[in-house]
Formats: sequence, C-alpha cells, structure tokens
Amino acid sequence: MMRPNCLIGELILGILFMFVGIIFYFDSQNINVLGLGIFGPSLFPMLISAGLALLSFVLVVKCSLNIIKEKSFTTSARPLISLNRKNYTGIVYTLILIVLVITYVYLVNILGYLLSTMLLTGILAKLLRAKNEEAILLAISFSFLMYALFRFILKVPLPAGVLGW
Amino acid sequence: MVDPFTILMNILNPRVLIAVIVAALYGLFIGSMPGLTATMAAALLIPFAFWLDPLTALAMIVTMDVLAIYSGDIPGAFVRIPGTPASAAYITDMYELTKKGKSEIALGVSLMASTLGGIIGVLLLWYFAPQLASFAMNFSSVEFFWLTVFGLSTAVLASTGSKLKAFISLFIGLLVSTIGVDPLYNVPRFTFGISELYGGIPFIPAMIGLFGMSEVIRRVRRIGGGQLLRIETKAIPLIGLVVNSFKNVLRHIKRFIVGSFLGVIVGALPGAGADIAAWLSYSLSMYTSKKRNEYGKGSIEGIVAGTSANNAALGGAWIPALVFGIPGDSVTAIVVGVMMMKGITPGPKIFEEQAQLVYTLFAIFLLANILVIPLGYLAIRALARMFTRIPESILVPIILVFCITGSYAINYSMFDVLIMLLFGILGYFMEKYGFPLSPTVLGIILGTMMETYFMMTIRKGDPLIFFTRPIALGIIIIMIISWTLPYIARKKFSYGSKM
Repeated sequence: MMRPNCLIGELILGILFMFVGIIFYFDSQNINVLGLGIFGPSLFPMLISAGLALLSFVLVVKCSLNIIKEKSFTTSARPLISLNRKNYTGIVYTLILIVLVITYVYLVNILGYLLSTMLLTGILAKLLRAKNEEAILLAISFSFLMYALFRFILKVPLPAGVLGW
Repeated sequence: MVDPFTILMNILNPRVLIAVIVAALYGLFIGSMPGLTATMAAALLIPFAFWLDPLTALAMIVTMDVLAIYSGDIPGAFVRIPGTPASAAYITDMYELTKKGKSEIALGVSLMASTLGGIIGVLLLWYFAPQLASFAMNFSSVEFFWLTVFGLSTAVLASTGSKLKAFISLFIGLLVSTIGVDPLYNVPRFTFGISELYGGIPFIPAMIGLFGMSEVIRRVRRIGGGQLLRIETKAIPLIGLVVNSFKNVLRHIKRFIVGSFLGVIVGALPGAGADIAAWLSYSLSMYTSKKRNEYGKGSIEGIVAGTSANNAALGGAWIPALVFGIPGDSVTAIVVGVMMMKGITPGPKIFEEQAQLVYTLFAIFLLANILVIPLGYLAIRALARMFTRIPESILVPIILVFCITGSYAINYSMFDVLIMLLFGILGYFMEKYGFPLSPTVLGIILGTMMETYFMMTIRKGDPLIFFTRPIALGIIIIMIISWTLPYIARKKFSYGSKM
C-alpha cells in the first residue's frame, strides 16, 4: 500500500506544535523585561515561538489539503492507530513502560535506588517475556552492579530511601 | 623546541605510563556508559590531580578525554544511545549498520577515523597553536552568531525527508533551549512555577530521551506486538579490522580530511567543542555528498566525517586554553583549572616557560590516540558479545536503567529522569511521523549560545553590524554557497543527464 502524503498522526503533531508555539509566544510577552523594551529577555523566545507556530501552521495546512485531496479522510480513512491485536498489545506494553518509569521516579526516594531498580528491571524483564529465573537474576545482579558502580566508584549520591540503600 | 629524547624519557617515566594506561581504561569505560560524559570523568580526576605532579595529572586528563570520546560511539552502535554528546551526530548510521550485522565495520571505521583524526588534531596543535589561536581570537559575538546559524542550517538542510519538518524540529530544540533563566539578564522564562526548570532543560537527559528512551519505547512496543529483533555480528581479528577500517577511511579520504581540519578549527573556538564539530562536519558532508540518501541509513562516509571531526576537535580545544587560558570546551576548562592549581599560568609564554611540559603533553596526546586502536578493539569485542548475545527481554531493562541512571547522574535529580522520559515519548512520535531528531538536539545544544551572541550583537544598536565585519561576511558567503551550490550542481547534473 502506498504511503499517503500526510498521515493523520503528522497532522496531530503539527497542531500540537502549533499550539506549543502559540502558548510560548503569548507567555513570552509576560516575561519581565526590566524596562529594556524589545531588546529584553523575551525577544529571542518570541521570535522562535512565532517561527514554530508559523512553520507548524504551514504543515497543518499542507497535511489537511493532502488528506482532503486524497479523499482518504472520509472513504478509505487510515485511522491513527489500527486496533488489531498486535498493535493493541504493543500500545498496552508501552503504556505500562511509561507508568513503570513514573512510578520508579516517585518510589526511588522511599525504597532507595537498589530496591527500586531491582523491582523495575525484574518487572520489565518479566513483561518482555523473560523466564522467571532470568528476570530474578537480572534484577538482583544488575541492580547491585549499577549500585556499586555509581555509589562506590563514581561517587554519585544515589537516592537512599528509608532503608539507606 | 624541546629535545625529542627528553620528551620520550618523560613519557617512559613509569608513573606517567601507569597513569596513562589507567586513565585510558577509565576513559574507555566512561565513554561506553550512556549518560556519563568526559567532563564528568575529568571532574572526578581532580582529587587525584591534586596529589600528582603536573605532567602526570594533565596526562591522565588528556588520555581519558581521547578514549572517552572514541568509546562514546560503542553504545551508540549497539543501542542507539550516544555514550557522550560528541557521538550523537552519526549514531543513527552506526546503529543502522549494526542492524544489518555490520557493527564491527561501523565501529572499526569510527576507531580508525577517530585515531587518525585525533592525530591530525594533535599535529596541528603542535605546529600551529599560536597562529590558530590568534585567528580564533578575531571572533566576536557577530561571528559566533553566524557560526551557530551555519551549524543549525546545515543540520536542517542535510536531514533527509521533509525540510519543513526538519525546520519544525529545529525550532522545537531552540524553543526548549529558552526554558529557564535567560543567559544575559537572569530572568526566568517558561518555568511554569517549577523550580527545577530555572536551570533550563538539561541537555544530556534530553538527548538520552530523544535517542535512547525512544528506542526503548520502540523495542517494548515491538516486543509487545510479538516481533523480536535479532542482531548478528561477525567477529573480525584485530589486523583485519585495522586494515579494512583503514581502507574505508582512505575510500572517504576527502570527508576525513575536511572533518579533521574542521574539527580542529571548531575545537579552537572558545565554547564550541567536539560535539558541535561532529555535527557540523557530518551535516556538511551529507549536504555535499552524492550519496546523501544513504545518510541516516548506515553511511560509512557520514561516520568518517563525524568521528574524525570530534576527535580532531580535542586537539583544537587545547589551542585557546594553552595560548590564552580560554577553554575551548568543558574538559579544557578543567585542564586550565588544574594548571592554575599547579601554579602554571596558560598564555603565549607557556611555549617557552613550560616547553618541556607542553610538548610532552602533545606527545601523550599522540600516544593516547594510538592507544585507541588496541583498547578500542578490546572494548568493541567485549561489548559486541554482550549486546548481541543478551536476549532483548534482558537487554531492554538494562538499557532503560542506563537511561535512568545516566540522566539522574548529571544533576543528581529524579526530575531529570522525568525530562528524559518526556523527550523519549516526544522522540518516539517525532521519528514515527518523519520529524528528524538531529535538528532538535542541535537546537538544544546551540540555542543558548545562539541567543547569547544574537542578543550581545543586537544590543550594540546597529543591526548592520551583523553583516559588516569581514570574518562574519566570510561566514555568510560560505554559508550561502554551501546552501545553494549543491542545489545548482544537482540541477545542472540532472539537466545534463536529460540531454
């Protein structure tokens, strides 16, 4: 199947970047200018955000025209995500990964680096279909290795948590 | 000039030799670890430098720097995470070669181009340091501004696919660089009440996110969908690797020479460095290449251009540091600090007053570049075995922990891990929908520099100053030529072929 000139995902990203540009443009006008007029700290971000909004607008228009032109939007629409079983599992796995990392960031100050890293590596390895013994071995050995490397050799102060490691 | 025999005896001093070998292994290790930079490694050497004599202390930093910059290519080739920012420009090519089972070819070429580029850098440093330094000192904010514009524009024009998307990608990077306290007035911008954003978006976590975390997301999604990627590698003996790699560098000798010289010049500019040198060389090489379609898909030519420039830049960065005490990059900033600590004042007279020390250091620089071959080879073999034999279900958690710990270790902040995750998600979607990542990364790196020089120049009151200084005008002309020439040449060529 031939790739359409513009995917709906590109259009969505274009709209997102355009809004980011607009938000930053208006927010940059609130930057305290210290009586410096136009040559203050808001000048550069204003130029850049305006540029981003403008370029993204061009992309959005281009994509919209392409989609309308191909008539694929209404007849043979290519959905953003085709929800077959493989794709669905892939998305679920990705979401679990993101949740795992966010949970890790908040848990690491409570459990400490060592324990949190063991949990993260063990759960992720298991999610990716490693055998039980492989996941456990990885969780313990790799976490200890990283802990020793950063804590004792590179002298990086890792989060200690309530247990102190 | 110092007697070569004295230099040789200085190097053969057991204390110096041991320090060089230990520092080489240390640099190799740091460079291979995603997120750990040569700057961080140099900073960790300061306590040791305090107890050592000046030559041994500086020799350790020099050797570590050379090996770390080379070995930054290794994780790039296997897991698409640049070990140091200097490798970011061409890691996609290395990774694509690895996926085709040619990891050792990719790493062999980078090994040879790094070594030879580094040697050219040292030789130019040895013979032309004062001349190059005085040329670099003619650069004012105007010239630096145009140089950053040149670097950014080549990254966009050299990227494959839609130029509109590449420009959007660049503007995203530039906008990210404006977050935090502004460089001239110390006024906070776009911090949204988050105190961690006052210092700006840290570059390393953003880069690890864009390249490394996005790759983790891609792999997890693929494994979730039931597809497994098997990377094969072919073990090549040392001699074979050296000979093949040398032939590959010779095949792209023009790229290599331009990359090495460009590396030295960019390295000699204060505040620039190996990473900017690699980006500039890679982009220029791609933009002027007949095989530009191969770039980003496993181009050996691109690897030669990028990696020769970043290692040559290390020599260049020493030029302003030694001659004027102005560091060319962050590692030479530490070097200047160590020199001061040892009572050595950098300046034009250093070549007379400390001639023995300076020329022995140049010789150690050469030795370190030569050490890249055997030690780099051992690292390639060991890591190739590790990365290709470990199943993905085990490798992906390992990469993720490196991404997290490497991001955390820069500022000891878990907020940086969230930044890394955010950029990982952004990088994943950008790549999926054809937005190149390189302009974003370069925008983040050069954004603050570009803004500083832009504001410094515009505050002078006369906008014409952007165009009236001779060197600035020279850069503008070169820039316009490099933008238009390949288009004209291509048009002419295609017109001719139709005849």
